[in-house]
Parts: sequence; C-alpha cells; structure tokens
Amino acid sequence: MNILTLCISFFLTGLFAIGGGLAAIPIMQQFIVDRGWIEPELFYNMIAVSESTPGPIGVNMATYIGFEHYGVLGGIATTAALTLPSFVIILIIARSYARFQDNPLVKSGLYGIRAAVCGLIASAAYSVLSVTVLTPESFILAPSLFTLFDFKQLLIYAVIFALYKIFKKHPIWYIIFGAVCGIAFL
Amino acid sequence: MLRELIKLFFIFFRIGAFTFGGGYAMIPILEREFVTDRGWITSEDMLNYVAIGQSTPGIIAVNMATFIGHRRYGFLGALFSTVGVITPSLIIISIIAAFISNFSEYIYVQKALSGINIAVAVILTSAVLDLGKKSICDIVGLALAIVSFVAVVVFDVNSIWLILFALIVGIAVKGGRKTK
Repeated sequence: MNILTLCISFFLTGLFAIGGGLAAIPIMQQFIVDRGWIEPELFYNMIAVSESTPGPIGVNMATYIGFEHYGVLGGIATTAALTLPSFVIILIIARSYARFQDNPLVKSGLYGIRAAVCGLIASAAYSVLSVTVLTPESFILAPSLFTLFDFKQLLIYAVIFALYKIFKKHPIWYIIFGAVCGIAFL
Repeated sequence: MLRELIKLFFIFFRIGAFTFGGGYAMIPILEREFVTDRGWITSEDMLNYVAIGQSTPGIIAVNMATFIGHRRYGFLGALFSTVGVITPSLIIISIIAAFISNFSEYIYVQKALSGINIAVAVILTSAVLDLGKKSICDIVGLALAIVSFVAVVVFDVNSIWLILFALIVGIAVKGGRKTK
C-alpha cells in the first residue's frame, strides 16, 4: 500500500461512479474501505462530515483519506486522481458538443433527456424537503396534514421562498441566510 | 487572458464553497452565474450538460465546471474552473482532518446545516418550477419528468437508466425531425 495505489483506487472511483455523488459511495466502499484505507466507522462518519460541508462528497472523501495518510500533498494527489477521469471525458465530449448539438437525432434525444433531468432535479428537491419541511415518517404512522409538516421549518421555508422570489438575489445569500436562521431558530 | 482565467477560477471557487447538498443543488447557482448574469450559456445548454454529466463517469460538479470552462476559454478554461470548484473542499476538509474531530457533531454545525438545507430546498423547488417551464414543452416531456421523479424517489433507480430511457423516447417521438 502506497500513495500510488491509493491514487489508482480514487482514479477508478472517478472512472466508475456514474450518476452523481451518492453513486460514488458503493464504489468507494469497494475500492477504498474494503482495501483497508479507512475504517468503515470513520468512512460513515466522513459521509456525515461531507454532508455538513460544501463540495462534492467524492472530493471530500479523497481529500480526507489522502490527507490522513500522506498529508497535504497526499490530499491534493488523491483529489486530482479522482477528478482526472471526469475532466478528460468531459473535455473530449465538450470538443464535439458544438458539432453535434444541431444534429436532428441528437436534438430529439436531448429534448427527452432535458425533461427527465427536470424530474431528477425534482427528486433532489424532494429528498432535501423530506429531511427539512416534510416529515414522511410521522405521516406514515398517522396520516394527516399536521403530521406531514414540521411547522417551524415550514415557516422558515416560506419566509426564505418569499425573499427569494421578491429580491431575486444570488442563491448564495439565501444559503448564508439559511445558516443564520438555523443557528437562531432551530 | 490570465486575468479572465483567474476570475473564472474564483467564480467556481465561490460556487464550490457554497454547494451544499449534492450536485443538483449547484444547478440554480450555475444558472444564476452563467445563464442570467453572464449569458455565456443558455438554460438548454445547462440541462444538456447536466444530462451528459449524469450519464458519464465522475463528479457532476467537476463535469459542469469542465464543460462551462471549456465552452468559454477552451482547455485552460476547463482546467481553471475545475481546479476552482474543488479547491474549497480541499481546504475545508484538510483543516477538518488536521484540527477538528467530530466536526458534524457540533451543535452549531448541525443547526446551521438544518437552516442551510431549508434554503437549498427553496432554491431547488424554485429551480424545478423555472427549468420545468423552460424545458418541458409538451405532454411527453411532462410524462418523462414525472416518470423520472417517481422512479428515483419511490424505486431508487439509478439516474443513468432514466436518461437512457428519455433519450430513446425523445428520438422515438421526435424521430430526428427538426425541432424548434
């Protein structure tokens, strides 16, 4: 076990994780946890840390494990290894994107895909709603309007939503405001 | 040129520093930065990039940064924006790894995070409404969006299958004819 094999493991994670952050978890489990680079308990702990810090979960995990084993440079090396496959693949696609985007067959395909992506974004919205405003667990136990919502969080949601629609400021301001509300009221 | 590249680096640095809650949460921020404020790409381009990012390997944030950077300034643009988007994580996680144990168990971290999640929920629901209006133009599109939503939320289907399915449906319906 040395830094090269660790980088190769993250490179493979970057190469095989298709479909966003959570898809990377089982792959990291196979290449990183099962090979003893991190204790399983610490791995789950790091998933929690990744959820409470900004940035892609894969990058957070690569930086953490690289840093723990080989210091700052180790963190940089593993992160670079993880991102290299996406970078190269997208570069190749980006070069031909302009040429293919007007092809009628590609256009028809993308018309369908864009609609599906809206559904996927809606599912992301649902999953964050279900850990904040909605309380699906208590709703299943006793279905009613009162058990469906966490009213304190719903109120904060409504306030932020109204501010977002009225002032149309950059989303980052609302994220900062959300953090402040969380510390003050939750 | 170097000046523009450094600026690009910092735009993506800021995006990387504020993307909580996974790759999709980044989309409204990207929309604001590059569609609304700068007009470098259209909403349609952005959803195409998301779709391509979801059906190719790797981290969606990196895919988007590479795509947009390349579109604007070629290879160097892709490089600066990609390094920009991952640098905040690199710094934050290194600091946590070096100095702070049990970071996610601190009460104020948890409180701030609950509030951030609500803001992310607002931003995402609003993005669904906006992007839906722009990119769902008929009943087939609406059906595809609903099927994808249910498949992920209820049946936990990997998004790549849904994108493949939508690709096939799109071609079958439009049949490669000219669309607007």
